[in-house]
Amino acid sequence: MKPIIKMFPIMIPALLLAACSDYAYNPGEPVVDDSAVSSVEKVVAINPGVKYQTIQGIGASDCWMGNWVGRDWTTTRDKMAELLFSQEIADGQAKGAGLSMWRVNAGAGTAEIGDRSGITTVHRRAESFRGAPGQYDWSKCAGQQYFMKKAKEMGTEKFVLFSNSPLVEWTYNGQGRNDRGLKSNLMPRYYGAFADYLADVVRHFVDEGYDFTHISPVNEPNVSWNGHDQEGSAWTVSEAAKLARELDRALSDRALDTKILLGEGDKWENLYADNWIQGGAASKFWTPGDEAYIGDLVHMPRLFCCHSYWTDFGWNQLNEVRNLVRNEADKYGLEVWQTEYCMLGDDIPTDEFAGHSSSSDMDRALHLSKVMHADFTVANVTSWCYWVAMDTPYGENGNRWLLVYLYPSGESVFDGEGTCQASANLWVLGNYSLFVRPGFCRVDLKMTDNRNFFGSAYVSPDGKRLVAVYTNMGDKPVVLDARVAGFENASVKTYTTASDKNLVESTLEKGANPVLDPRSVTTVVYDL
Amino acid sequence: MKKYLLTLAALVIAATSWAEVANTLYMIGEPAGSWDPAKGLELTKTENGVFELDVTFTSEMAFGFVKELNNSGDWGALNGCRYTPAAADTQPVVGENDMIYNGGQTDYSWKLGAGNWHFVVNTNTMKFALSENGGPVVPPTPTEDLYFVGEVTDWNFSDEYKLTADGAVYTFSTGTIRGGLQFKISAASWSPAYTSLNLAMEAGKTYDVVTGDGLGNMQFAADVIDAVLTLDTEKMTLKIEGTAGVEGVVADEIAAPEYFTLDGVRVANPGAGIFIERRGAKVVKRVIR
Repeated sequence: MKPIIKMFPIMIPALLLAACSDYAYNPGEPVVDDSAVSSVEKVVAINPGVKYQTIQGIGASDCWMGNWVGRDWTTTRDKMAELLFSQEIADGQAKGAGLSMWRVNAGAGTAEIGDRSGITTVHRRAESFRGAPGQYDWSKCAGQQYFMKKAKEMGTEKFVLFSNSPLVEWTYNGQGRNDRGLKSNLMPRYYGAFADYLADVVRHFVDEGYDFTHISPVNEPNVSWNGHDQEGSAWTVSEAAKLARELDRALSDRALDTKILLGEGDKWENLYADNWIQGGAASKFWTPGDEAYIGDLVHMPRLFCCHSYWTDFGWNQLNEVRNLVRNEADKYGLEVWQTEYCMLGDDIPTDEFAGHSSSSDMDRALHLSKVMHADFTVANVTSWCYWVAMDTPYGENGNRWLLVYLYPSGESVFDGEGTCQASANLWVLGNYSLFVRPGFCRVDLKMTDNRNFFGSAYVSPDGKRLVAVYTNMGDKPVVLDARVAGFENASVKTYTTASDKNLVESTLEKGANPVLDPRSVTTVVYDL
Repeated sequence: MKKYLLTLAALVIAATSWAEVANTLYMIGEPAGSWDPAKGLELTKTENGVFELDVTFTSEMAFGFVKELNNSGDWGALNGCRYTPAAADTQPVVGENDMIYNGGQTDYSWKLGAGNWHFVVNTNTMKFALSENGGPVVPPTPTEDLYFVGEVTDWNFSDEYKLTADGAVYTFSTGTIRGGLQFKISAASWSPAYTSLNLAMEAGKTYDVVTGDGLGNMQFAADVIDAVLTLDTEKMTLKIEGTAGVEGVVADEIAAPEYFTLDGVRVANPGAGIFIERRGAKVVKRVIR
């Protein structure tokens, strides 16, 4: 084994491959003085024969700007779509993140009724497909449909229709927000109608050639959503189960194979703890005899999803919470998805993250990778999605919330056109999504990981490609001594995201060790 | 057997109709703000066992008398020292009215309409005299904020639904009030709680309102868009401004029907028989002859 010569010719003499130079210590452990060490060697053993979960998709959602810039920014939108969906690599540079899953917001129709919607943040209002009374208008949500079309053209495999609020015409307050505390805003007599609506939307787009694999009818049901910033409704476990039953009927009526995706709690405790209003949802949904039991529904797989918000406060919490997730999921035989994440929380330990006001774009992207790593390797999620794919930067550090920056030419997104720019988040997400495709299976990767260096590996369905994603949060290069069983003769390429690289491709000479940049996320691809 | 029953009935009457002379007396029920064992209007004792009270009823109200209030919320103990009519919802007359002290065997109350009333209650003779003081009925003056409260808030009080006060006039503006959903306008203590008792209210009209605990709710027959509700607590009126929308039930009823057999098979032109009819979100079993 030798370090890659093409990339680091002057580095070789300086390399001190000290086995004890694990500068990336864990919380609670003494800090190792590695000031004399210029790089670190990591030994990794990957065994594709030991398989874990099969990945369903990695993506993001079109909330909320997608509908507006996809409709109005006609000179910029192609670039945005390319950044999100392209799987092409040209001249050693990935063109996009190659998202394999695209979550489409089924808006409540707040955009149509304006101020009456109760949503004061205008760009977060959302259209529905309702036209004249009792009819559909499939020309609506034009911007969302633009991105759906581009995603399909560029190979995005899976689409998920998700709802934040029932349609305003069926809510108690006629708004897209909720005044009923932790109960649903959907009036009881409209559960069937709302389910029919969601199923009709999916039927329409399935007929258009989109693979809508799932409908997620409730979002963060443990939140009251009584604010005015965005659409939302709370749901009790029983109310969610009632809607699931109606949706199951509606999907069968339309001969759809689409599955129901439930959960969407704002944090993982909603799966394993008793804090989804009246108690743990999983224990109710999948316990025969419970009034919320839905385990017998045709379109209801043993699947539960949550969001990784609020449980990303450092390496220890990431692992502790996700261990609880896996234990609870195993108890009920559940597949688990992570369906929304961005850096909402502010309580990340300062020795792991500099803080929102002093961190860089790459700092935040590295934290994103840490969260994804914990979700994939500890919680065993089979799907992972970022929250909003695009937004204007706001508040401290705009890319806390987004993948693609939007810069309107006017005062708002509605004032003419604008420009866009990929954030480091997009490229780090791409380190996973571009290479860990649906059907890939996570496999065993053994190393002494810690909060500053960690990795995971995945094998393709045909067994001919192995993908390993490493995150080096330290400020020294890592020389990777990776032993990949069965891939000793594979061709190897790396794709690096760092402060100066956006998924930059490098080809390794046979037998060379990958060298991972300081403060980078690197995907190593082995092809037989 | 017949003789035995007569004897038993006599014993019951004897046990429940004696004169229970009180040292203190309270009027309980809606005039006191709500049916609460701890709430009552204390009557003034004028001589041994005799009490008087002047009270305004702003609407029809139900009431009774007790010797003692009960702060522990124990209705059994309260009813054990309660004076009641012989039948539920008895309308008292101006003049003399009978009452009984039944040891908690009933919780019957009287119902009396709006007016300025003078009560003289004699627990020695187990009668009370009712007379009118005359003059206008003075409606209650709210001392707390008023809220639109109902099914839309799951009957919880929310700042989102607080009315804006301008003297005795309170205003509530909102985007849409859904038809078919019941509500009141009330203080958070439920006293006073205003209602029109009308379940088919319409935009563009003004309704009389009443106050009192335990009264029915009000609702609109159809959605009211851009609704503005103006409550005048002196005139006791509720003015409704806005545009009538299409309420969901109505929309369902005008939706084209779809028919299914009891096995769930869709039928385009059903003949005679029993079918499942779906109009919009409304599903009913329909017999077609």
